[in-house]
Amino acid sequence: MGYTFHFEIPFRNLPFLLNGVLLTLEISVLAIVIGMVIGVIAALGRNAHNKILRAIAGSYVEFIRNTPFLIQLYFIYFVLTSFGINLTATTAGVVGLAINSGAYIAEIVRAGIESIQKGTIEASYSLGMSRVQCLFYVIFPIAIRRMAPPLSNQFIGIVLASSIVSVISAQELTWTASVLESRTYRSFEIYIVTAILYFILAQALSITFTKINKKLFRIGDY
Amino acid sequence: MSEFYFKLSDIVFMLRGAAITLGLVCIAIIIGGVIGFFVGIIRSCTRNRIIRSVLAVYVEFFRSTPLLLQIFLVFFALPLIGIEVKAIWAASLSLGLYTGSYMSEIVRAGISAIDRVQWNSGAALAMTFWQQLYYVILPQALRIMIPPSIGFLVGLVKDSSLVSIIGFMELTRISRLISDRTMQPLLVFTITGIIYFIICYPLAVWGRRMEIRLSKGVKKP
Repeated sequence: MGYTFHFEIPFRNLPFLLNGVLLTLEISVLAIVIGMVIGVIAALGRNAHNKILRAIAGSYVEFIRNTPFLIQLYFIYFVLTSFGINLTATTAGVVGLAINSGAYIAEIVRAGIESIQKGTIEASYSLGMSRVQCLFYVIFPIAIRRMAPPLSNQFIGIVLASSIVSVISAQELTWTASVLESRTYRSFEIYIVTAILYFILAQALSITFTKINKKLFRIGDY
Repeated sequence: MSEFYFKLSDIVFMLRGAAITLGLVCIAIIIGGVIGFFVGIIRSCTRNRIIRSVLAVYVEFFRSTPLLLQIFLVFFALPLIGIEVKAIWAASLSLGLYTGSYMSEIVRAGISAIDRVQWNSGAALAMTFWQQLYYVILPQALRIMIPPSIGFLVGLVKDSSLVSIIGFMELTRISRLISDRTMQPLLVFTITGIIYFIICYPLAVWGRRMEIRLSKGVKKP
């Protein structure tokens, strides 16, 4: 068709793209940390004795999990602006990503905690442990080992979902790629190289998490 | 002046967008279901290392890259080969390939979970490979494959919102247009969220129920 590939364009601008990878990691790490906090609180809220707390946590988790991330992002970005709160695109992206991941993390944490059999907890009480001791010595270790693999997958999913915040012009790898594309019009070459960068990032994170889980928690060791 | 106000016809417009979203999801399921079915079976049944590696690359690529980027790639790559890209075809193809890779993993997990004994029993009854698959393996494997498939379906409905970026007119794009026109993002995006919720939540509940139903009577390991 007369189209000549110019792969030197993305390779020449590789530092620019790699800076985008760094920005993606910044956004993702921030969102993961905040999301974990939100998620743990929401998970505890879903199992709370108070009916109102349970309703609030439950509706937050169900609403976020059953609506698209893009709509949530549009909501945060446009609605807050219409109320006068002017967030930068990157901040709105981090907030949106954190709120979105908080709901999914809450389900993972809830599943991890609920998977512990009542008998185990009763056994720890019958050994004379207080509630705090039971939480710290029995529940946490078991729950963390159950949660670590799905949480690792969720974290990788968060890194990949961070590409969506480029839609509201938050600065990360996909936004970097689209800026490059608007400068050079080499859309195919740039996006293929960007996709490969994401692929390498995701695979590296996956291997890293597997190693961490093995070393720290001895998961998958048997 | 009246276009600047949010009217009832806008809600009808959004509902039509929701119908288009559901149509797109159906097309993606058909394409992705077929791809995933055959890729999953081939990956779990063939002994040819080359075929397995090639398919593994396909699956891993579409699972380790963002869907948005996959949509961009299909949208920008097809014109190079001369295929004229209407947004609907790029959207359908990219969602189909994405669905195919995830479904292939689900199919692979389902088929691998079936004991070798079942295959041998079919062989002992002089069944061909496809007969064994159809009469012996699949009835058992489908039980394992259905709950994650429903879960993926819910995710697909949400992920279909990303095709609005390449301009395909579905619910998200329409809601963005209406929001920009009426300058009432709170109202518009809340309604959009509610529409998506009405579509996704029943599916999610159904998936949870199917998981419980399908695990009844299964021999515990």
